[in-house]
Amino acid sequence: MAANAESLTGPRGPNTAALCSRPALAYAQAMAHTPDDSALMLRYGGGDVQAFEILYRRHKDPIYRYLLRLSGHQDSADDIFQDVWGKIIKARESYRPSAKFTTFLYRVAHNCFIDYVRRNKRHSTNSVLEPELHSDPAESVEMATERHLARERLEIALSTLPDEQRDAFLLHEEGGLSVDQIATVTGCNRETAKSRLRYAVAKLRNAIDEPAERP
Amino acid sequence: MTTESNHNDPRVSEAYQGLATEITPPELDRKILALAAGKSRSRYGLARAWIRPVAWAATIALSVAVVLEMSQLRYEATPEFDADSVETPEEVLILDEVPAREKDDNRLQREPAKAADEPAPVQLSVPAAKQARSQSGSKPATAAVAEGFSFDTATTREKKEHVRHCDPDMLLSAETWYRCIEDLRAQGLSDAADSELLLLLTEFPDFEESR
Repeated sequence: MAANAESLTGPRGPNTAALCSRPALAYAQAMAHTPDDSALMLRYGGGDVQAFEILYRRHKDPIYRYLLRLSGHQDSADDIFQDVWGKIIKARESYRPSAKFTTFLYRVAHNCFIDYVRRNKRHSTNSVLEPELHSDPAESVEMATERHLARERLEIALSTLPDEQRDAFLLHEEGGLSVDQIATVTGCNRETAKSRLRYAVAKLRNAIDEPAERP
Repeated sequence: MTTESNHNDPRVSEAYQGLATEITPPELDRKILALAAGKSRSRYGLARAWIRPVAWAATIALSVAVVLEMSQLRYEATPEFDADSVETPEEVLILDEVPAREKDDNRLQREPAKAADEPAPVQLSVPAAKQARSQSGSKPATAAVAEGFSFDTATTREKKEHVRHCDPDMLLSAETWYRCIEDLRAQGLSDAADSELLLLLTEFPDFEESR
């Protein structure tokens, strides 16, 4: 595929450029030449399947992680993930770029998760994901142990967050959404969204700083 | 600490981004991309922009055609009593006669020139036949024909009833037709006999002379 490799990388939150191995300027230049999400969606609505592939590869991993952490179960995440993209595919002809595509995408994902929870009353979001999931076999034992512990602390802290706060935090981190966009996606006002995000970040910060006092 | 930093802690973000490394399972990728390609093909394959309007237009056109056809059939099936619009009996007779006359080779061989000059039977009407006969110098059929039954003044109903006086098989030749006329006269149906005679002379202009 002729698409730029950077165009296939999903949003990684506000500090994406800082974490990226390439210089921020090069990253910005590369992104400037990639087609806009809305344009890709419109192209797909016109029958261009390659446009959908670019769009999908750009957003699939953040959406998957969002659903994985929101649901707490890989099987649930798989089901909801298929549901989300099925709805995006279905909406290809009716889609109008009235808002940012990411907001539209995460709103669909959020609603699919809510529907899934309603359909599956037994669903519990308190389960912690398996630490061995997709672990890198190349890391050393010490690094793996530290990573395992850090991950476990964060996972536990995330799983103990109230649903609304966890949702707001994941939308911010995985989707790179602003407070206003989080409010749009979750259907609340801006102050509520900001409050949820603030509480979530504060609790996670405490969990990182004081791992011994974790529940 | 500002409000922005309250909900955007770089350390928390870094910790989360460093740990959240899960990727979508390849099976899911394959499923989604196959679904996207399949849907796009099925909806985009046959110029979806015009196929629906064309289908509607075709349906409407067919419906209109069927309705028009049905109304025409109903119109044709309805009895029409308007004398002007109804086919006159003599025309029916002459039309029925056409094949029989075509078979009458002997008559055509006897008088080929006359047969050639003769106008087509289908186009003949009773007044035209009368006129043609008077121009040719032959005498009128009878006084009763002139004074009695007249196709010009007869109603459609009378014309239809008139036709039934002779059996269609007897109308195939002038001799049998005239025999029928004589029978009618013997029965006292002189009006019917006169009108039949008029038709006979219209169809066979040379009959009077040969008789």
